[in-house]
Amino acid sequence: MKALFMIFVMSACVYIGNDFAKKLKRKERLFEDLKIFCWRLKNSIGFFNEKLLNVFEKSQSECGSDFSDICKNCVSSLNNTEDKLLKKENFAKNFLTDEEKDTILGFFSCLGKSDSASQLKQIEGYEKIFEQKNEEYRKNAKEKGGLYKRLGIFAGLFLIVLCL
Amino acid sequence: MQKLKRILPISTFEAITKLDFERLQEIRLRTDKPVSVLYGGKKYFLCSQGLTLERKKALTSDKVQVENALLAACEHSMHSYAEQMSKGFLAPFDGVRIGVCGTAVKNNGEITAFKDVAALNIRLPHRCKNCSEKFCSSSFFPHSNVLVISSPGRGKTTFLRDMIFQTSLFPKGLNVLVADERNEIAGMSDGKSQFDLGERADVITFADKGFAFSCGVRTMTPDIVACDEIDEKDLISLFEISSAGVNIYATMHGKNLEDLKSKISFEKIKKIFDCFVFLSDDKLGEIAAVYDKNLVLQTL
Repeated sequence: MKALFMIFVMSACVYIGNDFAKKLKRKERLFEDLKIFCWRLKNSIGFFNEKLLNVFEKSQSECGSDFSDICKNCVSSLNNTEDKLLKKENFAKNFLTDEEKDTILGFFSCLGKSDSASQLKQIEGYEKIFEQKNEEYRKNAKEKGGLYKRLGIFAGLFLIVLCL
Repeated sequence: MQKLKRILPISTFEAITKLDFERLQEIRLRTDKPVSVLYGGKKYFLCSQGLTLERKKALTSDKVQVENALLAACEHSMHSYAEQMSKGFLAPFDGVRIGVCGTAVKNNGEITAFKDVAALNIRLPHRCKNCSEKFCSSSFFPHSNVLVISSPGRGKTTFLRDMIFQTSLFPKGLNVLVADERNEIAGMSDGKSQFDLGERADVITFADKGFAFSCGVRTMTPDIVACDEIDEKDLISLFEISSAGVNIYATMHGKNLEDLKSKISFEKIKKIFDCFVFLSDDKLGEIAAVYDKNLVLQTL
């Protein structure tokens, strides 16, 4: 029984450590996808005058699952002609801070509402933010990702020792 | 109909489903004003049961609904419609045209957009099959320059569309070039016309008439050029086309012969066109009178 409990404690600690590391990776990937999406938007809006629906449909298959979810929500909003592209309630990414959520929601709320030139300026502004965030989380994932995993293992071992 | 659902406020769309769609010509959304419709040539307010003449019963549209309708018509992509918006209209799908009223935004002296949009006029095109058949069986057809004249919303475009279709039934096979400045005649979508214009119609969409005439006549070698709502500035290029042996089918606003005669450009119009078809105010696409080049009333 005791041995089983120790295995459970160890697994739980390793899981928590991995989860923290994974969240950092997910953040890095989401901001990477947002950055790529900005490039795509600039090309689609600035050069081809393409409609947003086409851009989202093309984007949703070539990105990570978190950004793909965002694209799917936007496609659904466009098909159902809802007033907002991305609603707060459809954007429950719990690994993001409130500030990051507001930035991303702000980005989507400005899309499609003005002429190409104004939109390109707005997109460029957001692109810089996404680039910074992406860079920050890339470093974090590299530096802290392994640390979280190791911490999980050590915490598990520590608890086992305590139990013994 | 389903595409309209995307644009209209839910209450307005539900009210419209109770009407005969074939008779519905226009839907007007105005900020904080009753929703009105042009139905079978008559003006009504829209209420939850359908039509009404009582203002109190009418559905109203607020600012947000009007703005959302505009955004939905643009498919949340204003940038794709910026050029049309600068001309005060949108042609979102299937020949539907939306007139936009608001405050014009100017950049370097040119209107680039509209803000504070206060009213939308959603015009729904219909095919009135064979409405021009009577005219097309007359001696004026097909080798004449024909000007179709009527008050707004009385079926000029519908009549012109049917004339284009009737040319395809002509045994010799005539090529028609359609200069569709607002995508109302053909309702082009993904390179396909939403209306049957026959087998020999080529459509240039969203280009100025001047460009369509000069470029299209050279490259497409048409027998007939068709265009909607001509004005003074189009007359010179139309004159050149007619002197190049190409026939013209065009439309213009006006109510009767007196209206036509009172136009400043009347003498120029008379030099170009051989036949003037006036449409009735009572029934969509119905001929009221036909005059020849010398303005002599003709019986069909």
